[in-house]
Amino acid sequence: MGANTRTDRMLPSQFDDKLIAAIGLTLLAALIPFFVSEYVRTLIQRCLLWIPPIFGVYFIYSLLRQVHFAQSIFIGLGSYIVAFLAGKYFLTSELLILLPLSLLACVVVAYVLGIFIMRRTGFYFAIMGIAVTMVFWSLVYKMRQITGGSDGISDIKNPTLLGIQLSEQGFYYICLLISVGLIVLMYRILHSPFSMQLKAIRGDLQKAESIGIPVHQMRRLAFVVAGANAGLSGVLLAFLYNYVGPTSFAWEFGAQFVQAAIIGGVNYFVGPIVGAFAFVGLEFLVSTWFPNLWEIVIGVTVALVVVTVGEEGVTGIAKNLLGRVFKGANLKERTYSDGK
Amino acid sequence: MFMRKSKALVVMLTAAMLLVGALGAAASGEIPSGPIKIGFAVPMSGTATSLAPDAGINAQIAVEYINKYEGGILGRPVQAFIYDTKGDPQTTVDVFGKLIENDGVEAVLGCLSSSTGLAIAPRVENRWKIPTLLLEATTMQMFTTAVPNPKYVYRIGPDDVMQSITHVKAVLENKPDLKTIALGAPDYEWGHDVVNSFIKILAQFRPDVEVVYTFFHPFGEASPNFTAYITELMQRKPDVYVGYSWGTDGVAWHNQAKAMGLYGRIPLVFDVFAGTAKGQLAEEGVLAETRAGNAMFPPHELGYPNAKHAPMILERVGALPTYGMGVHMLTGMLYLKAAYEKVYALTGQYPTPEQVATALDGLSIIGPCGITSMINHQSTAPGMAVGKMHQREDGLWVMEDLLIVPDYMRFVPPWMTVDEFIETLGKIQ
Amino acid sequence: MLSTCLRYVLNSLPVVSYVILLSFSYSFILYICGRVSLTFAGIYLVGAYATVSLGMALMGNNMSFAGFIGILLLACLLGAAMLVASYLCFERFLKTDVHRMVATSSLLVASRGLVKVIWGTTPVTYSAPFLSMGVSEIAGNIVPNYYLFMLAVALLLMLALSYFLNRTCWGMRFRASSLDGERTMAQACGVNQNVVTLMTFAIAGVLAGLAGGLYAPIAGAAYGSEGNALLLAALSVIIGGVGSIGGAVLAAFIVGIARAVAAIKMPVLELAVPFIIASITLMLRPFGLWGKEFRY
Repeated sequence: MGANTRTDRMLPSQFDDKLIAAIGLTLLAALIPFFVSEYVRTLIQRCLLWIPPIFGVYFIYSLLRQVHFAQSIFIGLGSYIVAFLAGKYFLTSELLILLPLSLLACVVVAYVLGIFIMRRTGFYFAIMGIAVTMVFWSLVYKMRQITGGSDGISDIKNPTLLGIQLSEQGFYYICLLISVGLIVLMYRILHSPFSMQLKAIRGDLQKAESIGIPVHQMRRLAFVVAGANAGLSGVLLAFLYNYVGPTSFAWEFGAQFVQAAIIGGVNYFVGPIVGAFAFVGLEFLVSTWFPNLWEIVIGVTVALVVVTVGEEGVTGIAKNLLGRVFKGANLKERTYSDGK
Repeated sequence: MFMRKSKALVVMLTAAMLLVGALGAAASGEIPSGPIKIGFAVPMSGTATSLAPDAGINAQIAVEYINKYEGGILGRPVQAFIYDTKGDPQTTVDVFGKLIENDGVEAVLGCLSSSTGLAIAPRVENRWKIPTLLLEATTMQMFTTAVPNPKYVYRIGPDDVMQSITHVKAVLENKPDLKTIALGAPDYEWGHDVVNSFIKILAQFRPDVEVVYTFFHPFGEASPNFTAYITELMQRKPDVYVGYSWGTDGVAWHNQAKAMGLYGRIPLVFDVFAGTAKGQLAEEGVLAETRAGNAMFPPHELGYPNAKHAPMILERVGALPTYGMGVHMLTGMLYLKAAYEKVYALTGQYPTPEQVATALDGLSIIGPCGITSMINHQSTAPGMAVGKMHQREDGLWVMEDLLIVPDYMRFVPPWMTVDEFIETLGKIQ
Repeated sequence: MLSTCLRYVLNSLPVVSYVILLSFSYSFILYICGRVSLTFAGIYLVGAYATVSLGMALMGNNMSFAGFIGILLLACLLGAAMLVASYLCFERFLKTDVHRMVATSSLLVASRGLVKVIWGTTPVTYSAPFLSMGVSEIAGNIVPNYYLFMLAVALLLMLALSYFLNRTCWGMRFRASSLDGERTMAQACGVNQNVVTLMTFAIAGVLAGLAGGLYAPIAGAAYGSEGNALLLAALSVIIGGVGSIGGAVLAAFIVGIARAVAAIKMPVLELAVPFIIASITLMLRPFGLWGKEFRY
């Protein structure tokens, strides 16, 4: 009986469309390398690897209404684990070892940092995130003997899976797999009791505490979820570029994920995915047409998105437009989040 | 008779085939029409920009100069693709991918900081195989550990040891009786590398000189307060101070040191970047380095190619010393032009990237600083000399009493490691 | 020993003075209007570039003290006008604090791009006022008089503001607005909230513009300096507490002196030390050393 109800719950009629769309998009992403140049493939790969950290930002924003500037700590952590183990002190470039290892490291670090950071809210939370990121950055930057300082570590070997050397094409599919896997996982987490508790905390901390929700524990766990996402991305980003430097730890790097999340739209589950592609796409176009104006374009875009559509982002705009074009289609329904 | 006819036929057929073959070969050797695409990967935003001002504009100027006064490369006009690396190594890798795989450029000039150079050099060698001229990326790691046997990667700027030898010689020349010395540099890998090699090389020439103070100030912090370092430095009373601060750091350092009277109290100050940042760092009588010509090399208004190139920089950037960017860009373009023409002259065919890369080694050109040669993938950077700053009547800063260290003292021989080479220096004198 | 301690204090003076002005500019808006606005760092840039450009254009090398004060006043006015304009045209429409934070910080990114387009990335300096004031010697330490002038201006301004807020009728209206979360009560009592908000932004603009103008002769007006200014000011507010004048001064001294000491004694920590102090403060005293409990 249990199995049956579960299937019923999993596949309501309106969920069907989304599942088909998701599978279609995944297939598209899987087939695309056969039709585009290597560069475009790398670009798509970068978008795919940006999605998990943006999901982390989205997770904290949509559930707790906090701006999470500290994702670069975990990107950097994952990247430097790869840089040491698969580069400088070469031990292994086995993904099945490196991914769990950096996941573990990120979970531990995120939990410890969460004790300090997640007690704060609003501006204090944001600045605390930046402050901790800066401390990590300067540690990595100053420990030149070990980390190579500002020059970073450049001789990272190519990844292996079960001992088999991955081709670039193969690595693309690994990235796709992990990215899609994390998206599915985030979908499950966002529809779990855990997220409902977080929403309750966002609504009223005292009330949530009084009905028995371990408030601070929950918030810390949310931070861990966000950090773990970014850590896995960090591992793959290090392999993608075969280079890791202290800029992975810079808070400006973490701020880019916030910008991408805002552009994508924080009211929608697909927001981070749209945001990653929109941000990287925008970067591509601007760098081609106005290489000198990158900062103005990205700054004004984000400011305009916030002031005009707020949390709706590009996804919201696109949905509105599509909804107008296909009047019959039921596109207005929100996939996730209750808005305010 | 018949035999003769058939022989004639064979000869004629062979001749015809040869002719067709030659024509075919000529057709494949034809220079393609349309512009030649050259990529530039330079920092145009982020921290590194304030240290490499107007890099994009200088790339544009170098390309314009080549098209206007040199007739392009093999008669083809140059089309520049200039992208922003944000000074970030990973973005630089993206930018190189875009230039090479998307835009199909034939050669790339780029990379100012060592980190960006280290990130792309192995990829250029293994994957892209396109002639790449690094603007600086002066780290000694480049051709020792990062790409030990380079084929496509070349460096226009000097390397760390070349710099330090010149600096040590200049200090000893200008202040033979020094007893104590202090050094300051921005806190990143280049700063540590040059200070360490300076101290090592100085110990070879003059083991008795004492280094009384070494500091590394924060790098690229846009409006820094260096008073603490300056006070400490003046307390130690060294005979010579050698400072490597540059860009925004340099301007703040210079203002604050001047206000606190550093230039009067320390007998000899060697501000390596004095005169850069549009002349704001200049100070009468202070030693400065030309760093592949901060375009202050005396004949900057005269001769080839400066007579045409320098006015373009003056007009567009507003000042001549632009941290050698303009000079590096033009030197790189002239190298590329010479390599293309050399291959074409030798083979009669339009060169492949591999041929250009091979031709670049051992090439000599007349650049903005005189005759420059590419030896073992490293340009001789002849403009790297040290002189005293002097302001002319017309307000422009120039250098006097230039000291140029001979090339045999600056190049690490292929049979030696860097450390072994430094140890031999003391014996050359 | 005493002389060495004094040396650290004197070395930190330029940073202390501009951080006092800048951090109070930020915390004043936060305190009175309950709004997070990071535009103040953009105004800092405006002040710096205005001072340098005006100084070079109007005076060149002929330095006169009165002229410099005039230029500073112009920079203040410009800063106030621009901050008020930014509020009226842009920040007014931002609904929540998170929106304000994200939107104003992206405007900062845009302003840095604008600076690059107008002035390029080479820093511009107008150091005549700084150099012409000479140096004095205090207990064997050389200190440029300009540092003392900067500190005096900052402290006098803080005293004046303190008097204004605590002793005048208008100051009472400001305080009434700050204590009132929704600001309906103050409005009901006849305090025009629009006027109070605009005046708050104007005062904050004056402070931020002055901070930029005063510091520019020392370090130059540079592309990218707004990020540094923003972080130092925000950390000082965390350390000192929101809305507290004493806290702003205290925090600026702590940050400045800690950096000056770290630069000599422990260079590894120089950049990180303000962040470490702020993190510790947040853990031990979430509302700052001098601040009262404050919810916005």
